[in-house]
Amino acid sequence: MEQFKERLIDIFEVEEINDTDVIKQFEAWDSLTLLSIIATIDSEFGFQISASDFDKIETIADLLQFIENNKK
Amino acid sequence: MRETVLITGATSDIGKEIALKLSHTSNLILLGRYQEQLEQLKAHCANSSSHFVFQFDFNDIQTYRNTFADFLLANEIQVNKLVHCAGMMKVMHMKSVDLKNTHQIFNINVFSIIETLAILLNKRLNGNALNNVVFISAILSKFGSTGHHLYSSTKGALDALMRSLAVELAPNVRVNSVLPGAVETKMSKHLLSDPILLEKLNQQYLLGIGKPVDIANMVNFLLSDESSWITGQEFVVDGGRTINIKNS
Repeated sequence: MEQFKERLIDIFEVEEINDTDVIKQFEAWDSLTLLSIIATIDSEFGFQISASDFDKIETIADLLQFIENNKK
Repeated sequence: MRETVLITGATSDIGKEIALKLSHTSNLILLGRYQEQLEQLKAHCANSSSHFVFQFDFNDIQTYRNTFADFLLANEIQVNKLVHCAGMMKVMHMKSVDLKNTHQIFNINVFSIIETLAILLNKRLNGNALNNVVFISAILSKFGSTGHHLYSSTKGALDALMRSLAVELAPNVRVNSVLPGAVETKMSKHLLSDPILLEKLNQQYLLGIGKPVDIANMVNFLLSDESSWITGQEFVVDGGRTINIKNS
């Protein structure tokens, strides 16, 4: 999970991320960022999150929890 | 005698359409990742009992060659024609690419067909049975699009492979590729569900968004004797998308 957080830091081009950060409020957020995160989750955790499931996720903590619940 | 056609990615929407069409005239080997979907497709095909199902996940490419060779030997099948539909799309920023992503998409889109060809051109396994090969490529093989670098490079690899094979295998085997534009499939569903993007696509695609049958018809032509003087070519089937300079 730490490695995944590192990759989120690279994706969002920020110094650090916090559990309470709202994903869609990162400056680097766009549709391609969404697809990049989906691909990274697939690569790191072996499952595909659908765009509609992703829509329900608000914060970094929500995302990490979703991964915890669904990873293989 | 009915020829045998191997379809990789048979349960993709395009693969399925090709299978249903060819099942009237050929015996099929339906190759795909999910057993249940393969069995369902087989049941829907004409002459259902004359087709075979081979379940394999190209993520396990290392074991493919032996497993598939054993399957052919065990069932005493020789393959005459090959249609490569297996493919996946990954869209992301270049900086987010990792080696695992790259391996996965190349395994499924490219290495799968290289391994398959190595088996089907082995005389001991397949004699001189192979006579026709069609790859499903994509217009992204020829044109650029943000986030599509991995996908584009796999399709470009297929087209380059196609040309060299066409030379190496002539005159016994014809090899061609079909380059679809946007087709209504499971793969493109998430893109086509965005109303703004759909509006843009409708302007770009002079003949509208494609259907799997539009691709299946071209594949059927390339596999048939109607195209007997055609090899080593790329066929763009895209409803006019790539020649439409106004809305590119």
